[in-house]
Amino acid sequence: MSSTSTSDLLMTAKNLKLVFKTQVFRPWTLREQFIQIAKNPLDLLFDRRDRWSVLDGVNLEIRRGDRVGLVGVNGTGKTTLCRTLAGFYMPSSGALKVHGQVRAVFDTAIGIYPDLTGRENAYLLASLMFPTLEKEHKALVEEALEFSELGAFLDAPYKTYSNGMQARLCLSMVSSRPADVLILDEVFDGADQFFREKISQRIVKLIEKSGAVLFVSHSSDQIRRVCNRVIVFQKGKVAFDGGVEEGLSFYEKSSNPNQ
Amino acid sequence: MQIPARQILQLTTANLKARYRNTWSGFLWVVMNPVLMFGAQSYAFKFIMNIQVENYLLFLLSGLIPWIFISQNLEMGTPIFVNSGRLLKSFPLNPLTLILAQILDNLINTTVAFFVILVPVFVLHPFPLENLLYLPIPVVFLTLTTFFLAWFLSTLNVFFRDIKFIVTFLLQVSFYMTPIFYPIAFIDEQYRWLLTFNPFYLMITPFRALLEVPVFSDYLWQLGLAGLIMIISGLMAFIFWKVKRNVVYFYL
Repeated sequence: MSSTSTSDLLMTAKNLKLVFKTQVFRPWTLREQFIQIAKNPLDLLFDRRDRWSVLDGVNLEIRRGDRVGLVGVNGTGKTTLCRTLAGFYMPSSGALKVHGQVRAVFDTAIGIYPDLTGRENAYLLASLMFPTLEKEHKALVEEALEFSELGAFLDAPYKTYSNGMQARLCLSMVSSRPADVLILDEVFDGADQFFREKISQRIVKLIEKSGAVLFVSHSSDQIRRVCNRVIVFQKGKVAFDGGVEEGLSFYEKSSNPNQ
Repeated sequence: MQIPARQILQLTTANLKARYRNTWSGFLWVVMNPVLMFGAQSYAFKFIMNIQVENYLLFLLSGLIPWIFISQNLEMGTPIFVNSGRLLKSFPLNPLTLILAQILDNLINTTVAFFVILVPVFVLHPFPLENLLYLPIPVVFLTLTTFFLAWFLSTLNVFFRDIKFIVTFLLQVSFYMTPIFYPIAFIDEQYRWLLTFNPFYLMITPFRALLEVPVFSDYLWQLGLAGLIMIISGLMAFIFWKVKRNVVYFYL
């Protein structure tokens, strides 16, 4: 795939920073906190929190037509970057401008009310993912459910589904409508290989119809198939931003410990 | 992230469906809980302990139902952020929507239970029905206050995962410390000032208008105090959320 980037800007991040001030080993209950203070009351006087710079000055421009593959080793801040771009985290400093609607998906094996049926959960997902498309919900959900091939299971409680079945339902829903900016964070996991092939084709079509896509994946094949630009993310910063092949080879060279 | 009204309604409906499991018996089960609690307490306090209060059933109703609403909202609201952590990190859903949906669900159930109890109580002790007109404003105040408190506690529960147990414990203690099933006259005069610091007491007092409508200026004063508790809880929840929001998502 090689559609070229056009000039209309959908997202700009300038010197985006996200810092967490927290203890790595902290008490997780009030009881532990109480014991800690009773043991060493002077602790209260000191700020023991560590400073974690998860995003360390990210500069990024995403334009209509961009299909960006975001790669990086585990724990480097890819998901946090996506969550910040999607509005989950408030940046500590820097500027983030978004023009248009962002749709982000971070987990596909998730139900909202596990006690309700798959079909009922699908309708709830529709209202979370497509709040502005109220009138289309029925058509959208029914088409997605048909695509999921879950048949009679759709009217069984969601909590009885296996992980793969949950992924089928969720992926079918997510991929039913395009968005201005679509953020997909390792969403192909979970489903079986046959359904993965089927859903891949649907997502490729969706990506073609969407304004821009930020696609996090550890699969070079999928990135080659879907993307026209690669960003290599390292230690909270953009280490490379450019063509797909150059990006993947940069990633390979800079991250492979054997080289 | 916005809180679309339609999303709240859909989640409330889903909450109700999940609790009732789409059946009348499920509905009955949820509503019967406060009704049975009322039955047991009125029997224990009126007939066994023989608490001497005029029109005791109505007195108990005007205190116990708001209390059940408060305790359900806080107990069910506190674990919401932690329990829905995966969902909240997966979709751009405003976390407050989940708490609002739970509180509206409880509001519907408690209102139904209130009227289910009110009918036999009215038959036994008729009272002027216009007293009911004094209740809607306290209901709005109580709903908002418990929403703010549940928001605050749910955020705090992300940091300290035993807050939900502490809330349950404190609610049990508060039930006995607050004049709900006994009148304020039962408290020794020298300790009554302590009630000024009991937010539950201040929130419940306006509901006593059901029993006997107070002088209008007293009613306004009671509403003012309940409103003050509402504003303080709102500020507390809002500021805590504003400061800790990023860390909440990080810890979820």
